[in-house]
Amino acid sequence: MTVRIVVAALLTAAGLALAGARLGRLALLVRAGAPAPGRTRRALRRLGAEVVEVIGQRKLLKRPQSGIPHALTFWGFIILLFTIVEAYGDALWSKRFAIPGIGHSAALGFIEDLFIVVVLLAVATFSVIRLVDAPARRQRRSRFYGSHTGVAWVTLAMIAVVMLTLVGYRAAQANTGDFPYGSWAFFSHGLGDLLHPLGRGVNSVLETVLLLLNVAAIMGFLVFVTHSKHLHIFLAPINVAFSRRPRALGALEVTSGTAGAERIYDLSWKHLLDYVTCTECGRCQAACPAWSAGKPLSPKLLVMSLRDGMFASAGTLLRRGMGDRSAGDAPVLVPNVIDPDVIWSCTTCGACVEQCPVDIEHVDAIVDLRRSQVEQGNMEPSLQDALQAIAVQGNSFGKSERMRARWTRQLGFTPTDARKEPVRYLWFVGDFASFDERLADLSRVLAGLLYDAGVDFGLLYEAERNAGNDVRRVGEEGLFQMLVEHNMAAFAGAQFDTIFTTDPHSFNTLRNEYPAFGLDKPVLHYSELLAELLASGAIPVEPLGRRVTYHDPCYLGRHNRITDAPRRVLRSLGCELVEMPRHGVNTFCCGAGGGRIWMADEPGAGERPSESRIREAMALGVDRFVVACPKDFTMYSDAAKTTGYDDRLQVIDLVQLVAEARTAKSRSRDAAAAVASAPA
Amino acid sequence: MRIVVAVKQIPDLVEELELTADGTDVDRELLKMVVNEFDDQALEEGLCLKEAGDAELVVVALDEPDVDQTLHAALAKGADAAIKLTGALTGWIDSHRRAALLASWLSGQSFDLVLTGVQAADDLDGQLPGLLGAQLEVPHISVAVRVEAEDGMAKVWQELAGGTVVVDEVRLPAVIGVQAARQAPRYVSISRIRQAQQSGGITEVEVQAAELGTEQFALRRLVAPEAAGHAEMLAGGAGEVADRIVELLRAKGLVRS
Repeated sequence: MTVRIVVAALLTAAGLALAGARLGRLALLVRAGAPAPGRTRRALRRLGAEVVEVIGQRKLLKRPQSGIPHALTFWGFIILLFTIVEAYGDALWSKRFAIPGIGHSAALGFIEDLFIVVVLLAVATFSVIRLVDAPARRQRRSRFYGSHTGVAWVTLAMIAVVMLTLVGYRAAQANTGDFPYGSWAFFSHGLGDLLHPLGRGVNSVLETVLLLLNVAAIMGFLVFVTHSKHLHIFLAPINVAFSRRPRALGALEVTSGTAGAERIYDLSWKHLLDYVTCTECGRCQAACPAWSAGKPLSPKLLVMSLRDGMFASAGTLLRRGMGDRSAGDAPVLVPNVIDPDVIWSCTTCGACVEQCPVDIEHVDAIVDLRRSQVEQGNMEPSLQDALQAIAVQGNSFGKSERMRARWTRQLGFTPTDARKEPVRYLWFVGDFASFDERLADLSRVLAGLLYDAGVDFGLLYEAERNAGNDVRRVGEEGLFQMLVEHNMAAFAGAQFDTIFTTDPHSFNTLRNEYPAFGLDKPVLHYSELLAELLASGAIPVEPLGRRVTYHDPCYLGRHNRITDAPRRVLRSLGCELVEMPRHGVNTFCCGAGGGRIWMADEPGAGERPSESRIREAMALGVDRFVVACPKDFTMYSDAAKTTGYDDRLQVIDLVQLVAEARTAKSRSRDAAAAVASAPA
Repeated sequence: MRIVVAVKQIPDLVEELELTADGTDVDRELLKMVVNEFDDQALEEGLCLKEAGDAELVVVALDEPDVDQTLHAALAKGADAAIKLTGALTGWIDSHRRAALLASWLSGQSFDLVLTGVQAADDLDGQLPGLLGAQLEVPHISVAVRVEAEDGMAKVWQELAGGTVVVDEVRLPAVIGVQAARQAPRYVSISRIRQAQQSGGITEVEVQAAELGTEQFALRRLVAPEAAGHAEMLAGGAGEVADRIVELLRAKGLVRS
């Protein structure tokens, strides 16, 4: 017994010292990051997140194949904490040790045994998943591509060793008479029966050896975990606690100011915590449209590179972590740690953030890095042209700002000028729906529908500027703020109750980011307005009876959770909606967001996201691909042509579908009638 | 070395230009004025020269609409000083008057190189660099695509017709009309322009426009270009389209028989 006590105590002291030193060091590294304000506010909501995200394993269970075994392992580890306490009691205290207050109930013995089996089965499942999706064979298609797979195998092996030594010493105990649980501890007794023929002497030695091995394996695992990507066992609950709630989407939270994050410590401490928490599971990578198109960006590899950058600058970070803010010789991140192509490939669609089980905030970090590039003038020429055009004329088309409302000239009526007359709805049309010829057609359809439905709406005419959503996301914060100031002044000069937008990107920034600059009016997307008008009967329609699919725009469905309104519209039109596998908050980006629409789209090694999306829809046997975003209309119309499916699949805007249903019912109320009745 | 870059404002050509009622100028009332793109190239080449060696870069412009924005951007990009020449400057300033105004300030300055755009939308002949050289009585070279300066001499890469590039050597001081900088003009973020705005940095200097030295011409009338007819798209099969093309060419007397 003395040997047991001494060996176990030494092992434990060494393990705790090594793990503690490592965790202390990591804490200092993370503290070196820039401030991240508001990360402790709303504690109750954060507690709720712990329950749902950590204990409930919500995001992991989105992928049941690996999510279920992961959840079982996680819960197993919690249950098996009892066995660790028992092992220590046995090793250091007495063979008759029992957890005070719980004792040796049959239920505990059963649950412990059950989870030993469950965890071993889970480890086997993880092994199969890793063999089937082996990056060596599947290359970029594997979500583990670029991850530390060797470390992952060691992790699985160590978990197996902990489980096997645990059940091993329990089995031996069953034969020496030290095992306190009855037959409900089925696994320990079953294995004990196998060891029984070895005799009491051997079993007694086995009990001590396996118990000490179990303690050693637990300590070994502890030290290993704190030095590897498997650290998420401890850090995931912490990272989730400090994560942005309800999600790190919608408004950007970029803490680096206009200058951006040039060096590792310019990123906030939450970002640095993200990087040491990442467990390289690759769910982000599997969902990333840039990665699937063969671009160099993988959110996972970005995070891993930044973590490498952290450790490479550990000396500086440690000094800064201890309060010496002047210590600074870390290298410039782009291009030394991160290739510029990586950060410019991002569409800011947020699929990575949506997927990440430990709430890493990739998009904010990418914008932090882009800001530093914009500040230094590093960007590709077409983006530079777009930004300069926006700075001068307020639109990315480089057209005269006075032409913004020219599309209204072909209407049979003149929309109200909200600067001159009060209106109920202010329509924020946006650049694409105003200046692009094909998209202006759609704007005219919507204008006609609203006019006929008697909706009291108006425009800002040439006072409207690009809302700045994508300007902010390419990292041109100063220009974004200039646009906000201009639009806010325009809003101040108009009278209205509610804003609605055509573009989900404008919608996102107006709804989530303008309030910080003083906007206090509700903001709707036109799909929400159409849903209301159809429900109230203001737009009379006749069922179309079409089979259609609907593409959720990233900035509507994922960033803002508006998935129901467009579907209500489709139901009102009597359309049968066939969902694509990737829909709702799990939608797949067209490739144009985050300012990508202003950058050259050099084909990558893989298929363009928009083309992959068209193929996804083709598999459903529908003939209409419904969109609710001007950029989507352009991207998917092109993709339908380049994939050669444009004769079988028509890309159509929600508003066109409404117009189609309405025309069928009341031809007398169509646009021509509106023209006749319009005031001169 | 002291480099002076002369820049100017021109109407943003995405605007629809309209003439004033008396037909002697474009209506500048609502026009958006932006920097002449060739002057932006001259500024970029100046900045490259400054970065390559020890030089001071001064940017100078006449007080024209929205010129502060251009000067602040130049300061944000790295110009050491910005000079705005004020005086009775209204309406369109032709290249003779512009050269005289710039020269009246420059003649009181020490300078090694004057860089300016090879041409502008309202100076398609590219007169300004030559006139400025003549006024200052220093050599001038135009259509430069790269400038390097050393020991009182400058090497100037000059792009001629047919893609030929000539490398000239010129004694400084000299005036260079820049066609293109060695690299695309850099982007300067709005936050940097705003910082430049806040820290002031534009020096105003009043100039006398009187002594021009040349007889001024009088502008009688400007005429807007007549709208050309729209293109006609020929529809139908290849054969039909070909027949229609032949018919059209015959009708215009371009093809006989």
